[in-house]
Amino acid sequence: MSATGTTGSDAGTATAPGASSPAPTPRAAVGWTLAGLVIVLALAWLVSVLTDLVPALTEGTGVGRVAESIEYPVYAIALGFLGNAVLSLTGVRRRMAAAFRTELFIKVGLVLLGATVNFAVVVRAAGPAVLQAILLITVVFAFTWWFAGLLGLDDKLRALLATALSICGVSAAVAAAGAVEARKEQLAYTATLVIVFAVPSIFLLPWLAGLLGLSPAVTGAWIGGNIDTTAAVTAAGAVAGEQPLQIASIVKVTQNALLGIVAVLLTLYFSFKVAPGAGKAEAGSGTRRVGDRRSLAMLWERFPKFVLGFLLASVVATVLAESLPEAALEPRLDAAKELQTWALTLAFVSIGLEFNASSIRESGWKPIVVFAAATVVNLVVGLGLALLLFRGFTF
Amino acid sequence: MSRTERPDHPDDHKRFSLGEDWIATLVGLVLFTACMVGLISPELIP
Repeated sequence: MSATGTTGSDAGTATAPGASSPAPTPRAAVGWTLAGLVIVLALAWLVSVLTDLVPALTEGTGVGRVAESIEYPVYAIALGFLGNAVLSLTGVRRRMAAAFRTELFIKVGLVLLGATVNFAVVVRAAGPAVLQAILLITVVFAFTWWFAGLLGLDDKLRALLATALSICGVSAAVAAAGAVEARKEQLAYTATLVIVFAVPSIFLLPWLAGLLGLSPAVTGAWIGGNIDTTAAVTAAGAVAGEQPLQIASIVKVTQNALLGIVAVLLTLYFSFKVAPGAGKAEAGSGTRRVGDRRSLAMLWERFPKFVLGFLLASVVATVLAESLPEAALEPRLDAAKELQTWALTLAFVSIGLEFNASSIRESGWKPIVVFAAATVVNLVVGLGLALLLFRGFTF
Repeated sequence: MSRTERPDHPDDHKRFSLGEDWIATLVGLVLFTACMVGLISPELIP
């Protein structure tokens, strides 16, 4: 995961400074990574087997209906955590961590997802998605920053928590960590909190949406606006259904796209208000202003490039739908969808495999309270905005 | 404090993660193109 994958592995290294085992040679490291990749692929294959086999085996029995309703993300995450436990017990998980690249797989999957989302849907959802993202980011960031300050947390950790909670989880925390020069331990801790809170949400939000009788668009907007990390949003969307997945992805992609703006604002704030000395030392920068060349360069640097791939795939697939006969287009779109499911399965398996709880124990209870309170605010405000902006949305 | 004096600065990830962002985008688009031109069919995917 750029963020998550790199961070995930770094989350491990950051929590064990001065680890006792010596660094493996480059050749051994490649070997461990390849072994890790084989495990990720094997678990993903097992997910596809279980997704087909379990409903078939349980058909007509008491658990048949439950088995039929279990979507592939559930098997993928469960098997990922199971693999994590086994690899941790055998002491090899951290050596393989370079293969557990949630964010790489999720971005490949989201580009392919663009092929199945008609560009007209993207255009119609873009307005409410941008409005929801701006309002939700502002409210959740402000609340988290204020509440973490109230509990006396360090300004850099406040910035990391607020950015992770309000934008897109681990990727946002990595960008914020670069902007405010946070410590690796703070980044590792924030990354772990993101996953701890995101995993239950994958199952909780689709269930709550069903309980509340929300429409597919409102469900997708609520999931996309609430769950912090993009991989978990996609997993929850997939659990909720195809239409919720489309809207959840558009909403989350919109939040991702706003990350650069928040990173620039954080850099400016920390340069002028919190650590003026550090800000001036940054790359010999001197004073930085909104709109200067380095701020604009940072906007592009932080812009998630997979958003461009998602949009391009959606445009091309929409144009092809207008120009090719359905019989010719359908197998091509089916192939793209199969590959998308594989990429997302690899990502969901990696969520479980790279999870590392050890940094939670080292940072005390205050950040957990901040994360829990901000998640509740995010849930309530996010539901209100999703109902307000997506209630009349049709596919 | 100069850049070299910051031992635990997390910018190490940033360099890799940005490259990874482009790699994921390109891999996704290559796979998408292969599907759209018919190089990869559903029967080829397990």
